[in-house]
Amino acid sequence: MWAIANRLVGSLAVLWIVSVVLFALVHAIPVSPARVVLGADASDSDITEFDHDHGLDRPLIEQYARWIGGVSHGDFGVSVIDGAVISREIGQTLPVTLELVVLAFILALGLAIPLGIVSAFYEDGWIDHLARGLAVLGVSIPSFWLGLMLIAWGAVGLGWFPAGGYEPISEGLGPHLRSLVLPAVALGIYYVAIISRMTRSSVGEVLAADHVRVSRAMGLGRRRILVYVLKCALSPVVTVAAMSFGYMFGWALIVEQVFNIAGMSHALLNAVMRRDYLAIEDVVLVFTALFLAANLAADILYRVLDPRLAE
Amino acid sequence: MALLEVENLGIGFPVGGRMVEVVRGLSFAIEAGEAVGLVGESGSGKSQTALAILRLLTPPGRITRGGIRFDGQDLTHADAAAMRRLRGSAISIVFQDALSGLNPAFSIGTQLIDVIAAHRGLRRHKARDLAVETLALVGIPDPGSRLSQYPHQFSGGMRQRVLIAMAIACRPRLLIADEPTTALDVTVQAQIMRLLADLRRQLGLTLLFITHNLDLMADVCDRAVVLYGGMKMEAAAIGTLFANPLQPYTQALLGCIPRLTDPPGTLAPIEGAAPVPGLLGPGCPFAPRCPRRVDVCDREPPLAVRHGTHDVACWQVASDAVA
Amino acid sequence: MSTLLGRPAGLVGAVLVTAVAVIAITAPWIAPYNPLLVDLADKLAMPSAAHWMGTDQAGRDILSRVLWGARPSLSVGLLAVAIGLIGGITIGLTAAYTRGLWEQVAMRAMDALASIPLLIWAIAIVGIVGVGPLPIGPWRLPNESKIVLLVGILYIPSLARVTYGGALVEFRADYVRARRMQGAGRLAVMLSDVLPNCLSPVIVQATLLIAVGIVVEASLSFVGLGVEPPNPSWGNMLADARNFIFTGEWWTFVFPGLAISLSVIGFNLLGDALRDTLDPRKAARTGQLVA
Repeated sequence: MWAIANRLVGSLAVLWIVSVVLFALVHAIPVSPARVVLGADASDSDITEFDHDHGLDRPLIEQYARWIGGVSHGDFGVSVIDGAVISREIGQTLPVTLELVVLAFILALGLAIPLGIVSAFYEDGWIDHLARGLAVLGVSIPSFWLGLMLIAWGAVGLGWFPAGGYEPISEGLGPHLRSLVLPAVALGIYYVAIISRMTRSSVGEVLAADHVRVSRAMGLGRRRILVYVLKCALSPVVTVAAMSFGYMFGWALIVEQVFNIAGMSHALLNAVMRRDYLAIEDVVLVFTALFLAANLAADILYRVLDPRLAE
Repeated sequence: MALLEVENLGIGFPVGGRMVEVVRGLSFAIEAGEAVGLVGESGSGKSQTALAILRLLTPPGRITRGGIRFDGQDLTHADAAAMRRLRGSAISIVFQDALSGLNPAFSIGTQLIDVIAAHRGLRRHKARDLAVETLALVGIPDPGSRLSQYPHQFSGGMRQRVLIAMAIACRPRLLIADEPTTALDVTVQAQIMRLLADLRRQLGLTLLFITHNLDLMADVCDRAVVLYGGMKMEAAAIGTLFANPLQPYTQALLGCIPRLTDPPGTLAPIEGAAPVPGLLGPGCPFAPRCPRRVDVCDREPPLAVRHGTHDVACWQVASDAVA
Repeated sequence: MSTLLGRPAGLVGAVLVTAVAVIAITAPWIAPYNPLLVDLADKLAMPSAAHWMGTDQAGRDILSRVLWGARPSLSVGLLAVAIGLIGGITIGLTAAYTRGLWEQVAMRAMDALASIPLLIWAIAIVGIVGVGPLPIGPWRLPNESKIVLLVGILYIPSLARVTYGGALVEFRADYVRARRMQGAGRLAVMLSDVLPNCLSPVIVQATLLIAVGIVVEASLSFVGLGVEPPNPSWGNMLADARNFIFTGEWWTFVFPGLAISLSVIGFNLLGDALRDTLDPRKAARTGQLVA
């Protein structure tokens, strides 16, 4: 319990440091938002006025406090570039990215864990060799190229799936899910490889343990022994899975670009293209928070699942 | 009829395409209520014999020949379901790795009750009662409240007691103890040995005690079977074996035990190296290290002779007997 | 070394890695065309004797661009790992050496740094600083150097932890105590005994991280934040080729993708084989989960 509270404080501290670094980075570069908006030939007085209107002439510490104060209430501020309310943009794009990541995550777990378990039980069998080969391919083929190949095969070639774009659920569940299948596969395969390897090695380690021999020598049934082995092998797998969930958001940005899905990647890349620094700061902060939350969840799950750390 | 009969048992592992036997034609029997020690150095095949009795040999290792009968039932040909029913109920085992023998992810109560539930159609709370009773029997204080604790909350000696409780929970007719004290401190070792002796008396257990330590064996066993290189060298009642060892290997083994009464410098280590399965010739496995070796020892397996209940396998002893 | 190459996977990995390295070094001499040479009359040509991998939308020779593309990929992969190794070994070794306060501070800082999602920050940094050459003193470093720097820094925690873990074990080992009792200084022991002996898992991890770096470079180039066009990079070649999926010019997107995948497979196989030979106890750990 104490350890979890400790980690929570640690995660919040990291998030705070990240916000300071982001803010400092943005304010260290010589390009001012006023120049971006008003153009190179704007007069000095125009710029001063712009800065004054948007509070950019206030002391940095005050600007920072105002930004972080708003963020802590869910108010991500208003873009100085086009006056867009950034909270609304994040509110629209985050669920899309979240859904993609969750689908890919379910796919990854659903494939990886059975594959890893079977590989471990039939070590050096054909499934094991197949799984190990797939694992090397899975960690090696970049998701965005896999995405392109999937479009060429599943959308252009077979015509089973749309080639891109995101169908909201209001268009019907079928088209909605169909538009997410290829992106979820492209995003998930890497983690199928990572998680199945982890499962294989963890289950394999447990299978070789003395207590499994004791369970067999005590005449426990096959199913009961499987439960014994799996629960024992679970905690490292769960940890890796939870961390994977956090990492998936990064690759989701790239995959969204391949499939032209209007998720957070659009918010971020649009902000980058328009040099909308506030939006960049906000989006990166949100992603870092999600990532930290996933890591924290990994840590908590690990402690909860391992009785040695439970107290 | 003996409770356990091992007849001409062979256990082999494939190495480089051929079967290498680690146990070669071993025969012995245990009567109900008896405690028999299986003594040998590491690699003598004693632990593999225990696993073979339970049909728990790690594949690709397997029984190559001979038979194992338990209470008249042929175990070498019993199907998997029948073996599963026997394990933990009629035949049970305590292994040497007390520290890693319990699943760290389950409470000891769950592990104990699962064994009981696997063999007896008891309701959960009845099974729990039996679990508590058995824990008390193996000398775990306050057993009711310790059921919910996890293995890491127990010391090594206590964990071995829990493992013994699991092994005897269903009141087995044969308990195999495979070096149950090797991983423990000497003081704890003595406690566990006393526990085994007490349990044997209280429950009327038949015991197969596997060890490399002759003294430990002498504490609990009635009879001993001495193994070397997968072969039985000598088998006799404990008193006979210590007073009158006939096989040169047994004699050498007894010569290795330090006694406080011995004058310094009289400890006699066995010359040469322990046998490597697969590199053994057709003859007596001890022949390369034997001080009484004759030519026939290298060519032929040792000749078994029997004096009453005293079995010896040795060409020299055989010729002594004739002479 | 012979055991490493004795495994088929290790051999394939070593061959692929060597091939990528040779191609990156010799690209100017082995590429049949100038990778930037535009020939609109010959655009989107099928693979042929003249253009083994065909040409792209500007008539540039894809084979030549693929060969030249090995350069940014490999340099990002190697340089980032070099930064990670220098930082990671220094921090891991000194933390294990000094113990006490520095150990606490350093390892806490590593935890914090490891909590930063690599790809998002790579996009953010390039986004904030802007796409374009990075002026450092008299030099103008290419845009990728920002990626190298950031990825390298974010590699430090994983390499520092591996070094730290190994060094702690070594410092406690009997032979180190024996060396100390013979009068060897702590620093000398650290550099001549501890460091070489805890290096194996570090090398394994570094090899796997090179593979990650290659994918990160390609991904960022794909979204236009990496190597600046028209310079060839596998990632921006794929970005150019996106639309040809629908029109059937498969060679535009198959060959660059194969180039990335084969080089990444090479480093991954080599890393796995190194782990199996150098560090057999820790097979299949979480080494690749850094992105």
